[in-house]
Amino acid sequence: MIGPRGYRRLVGWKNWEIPRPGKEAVVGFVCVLAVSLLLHLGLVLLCKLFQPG
Amino acid sequence: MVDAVVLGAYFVIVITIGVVSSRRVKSMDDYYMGGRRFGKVMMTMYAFGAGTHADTAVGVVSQSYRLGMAGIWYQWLQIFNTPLYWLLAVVFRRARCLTTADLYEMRYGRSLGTLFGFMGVAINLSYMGLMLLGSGRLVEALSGHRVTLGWAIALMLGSFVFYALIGGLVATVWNDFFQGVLTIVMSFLLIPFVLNAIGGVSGFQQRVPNAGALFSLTSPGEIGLFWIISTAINQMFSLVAQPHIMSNMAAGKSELDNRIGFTAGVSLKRVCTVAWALVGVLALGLYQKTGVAPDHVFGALIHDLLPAGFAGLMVACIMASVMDNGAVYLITTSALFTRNLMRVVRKDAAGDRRELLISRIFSVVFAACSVALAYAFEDVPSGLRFLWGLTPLIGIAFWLGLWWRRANRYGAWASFLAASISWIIGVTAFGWSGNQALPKLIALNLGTGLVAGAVVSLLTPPEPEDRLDRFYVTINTPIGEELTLPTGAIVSEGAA
Repeated sequence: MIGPRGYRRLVGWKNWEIPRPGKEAVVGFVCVLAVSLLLHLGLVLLCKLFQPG
Repeated sequence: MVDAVVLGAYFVIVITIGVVSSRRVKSMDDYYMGGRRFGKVMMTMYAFGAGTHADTAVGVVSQSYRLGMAGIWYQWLQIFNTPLYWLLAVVFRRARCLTTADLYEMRYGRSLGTLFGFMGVAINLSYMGLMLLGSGRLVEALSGHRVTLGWAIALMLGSFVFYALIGGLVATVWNDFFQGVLTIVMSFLLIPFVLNAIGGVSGFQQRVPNAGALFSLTSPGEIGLFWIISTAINQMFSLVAQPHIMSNMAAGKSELDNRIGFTAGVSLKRVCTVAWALVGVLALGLYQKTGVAPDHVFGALIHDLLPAGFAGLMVACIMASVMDNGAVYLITTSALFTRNLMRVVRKDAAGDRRELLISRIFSVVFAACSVALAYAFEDVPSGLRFLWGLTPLIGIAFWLGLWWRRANRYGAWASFLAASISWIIGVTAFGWSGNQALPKLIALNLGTGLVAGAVVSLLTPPEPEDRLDRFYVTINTPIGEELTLPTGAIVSEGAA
């Protein structure tokens, strides 16, 4: 039985309770992802700097 | 002499924080969660400090010294998962639980809460043993082997038991703040000294013949793409099962404080990881021909290169790190013991004051057990690999039940047992150990655990609708809002 609830689900499949993310969740997720990618890029550039030639 | 003065001054500050904080501990929530009153900066430093201890730096430097920059993956892995932690932080906060075992109990019933209680104690014991080993090796190297591993461990043990007993989480978070700032500074301070000692980048390239290969992010035969992907996935199952994750993600004033604090703390740690890995590789320019053991490289660099006073500051930093991390492990383990395990033998509920006393006595016993484990690990990286096998065993049930309503207690038990048996078979029957075998071991553990959990859940009766409704409504409702079940019933926060 899945009746009305205080939050909205992302998908309507039975037995799945994935909540629809709010604005704070989406914006924050994208920002953290960007920081994460920048850190990776920085690491790759650092390795390039120390490689000969 | 200068080192001793610096060390003494630092300890006075840290102990003062502990004593002042102890005055604010009036309830279990204060002791375990610091009254959930920390802001963004404190939560960032708490997440950073709780995830960063001496064995973290020793492990990365040790692996980078052995494998090159590819050794960074020992700590860099979490960076893939960090965006996901932004979403997860609110789940832990909204759960309104004091321990992660409470969360398992809310989803699957009492037996899973008790299982997590036992696993949580085992996981924390292993983390503590590893931390004592890594920090002890560092102090050993920093003192030029004048302080032995045994004495270093005894000294650290005494300090963090005292710290956890007096202050609880408030003292720990404040200590994390100071220790965190110092760790960041010290992590980067070593780089110019090492570069100066080896004659800069060009000096390194002349001293080390395979300099180019050492700055590759993979290491042929040991750390490849499969290793990186499998261990990153493994970390997702591991993180949620770490007993201290509840306070790490939920002790903030608001959801935003928890989200920013945890993800910023995790990211900050990765920035420091770059410094450790770089120092580990550059150390080859100094020690390649001297035969310094990888676990001793970090300490040897500080001992040999930093001027008077800095070595003392570094020892102070390590001791502070061990004090507050040891305190976090003690606090979370005693919470698991008193809340989730003690009731197995004691049916009557102990009062708040009595529970606090029992919790503090248990902390002392637990700390003593962790010393034995410190000697059981061969070295820091092998200890880390052991933890990467142990922790996710109970983490599979978390992910199965987080979004899938059909996951039930039988499936959760099946996932734990199947993954555990696979792990034992992989290590003993197939002889899978070391870096090379790690991805296969992870694939086997997680694969069998997930399949067993899903299949058994589908073949057995689901959890009662009422329990499921309460769980999903609770983890999706911000603190302070009414918990309204699909039936229209309103649950009070205390009953959730």
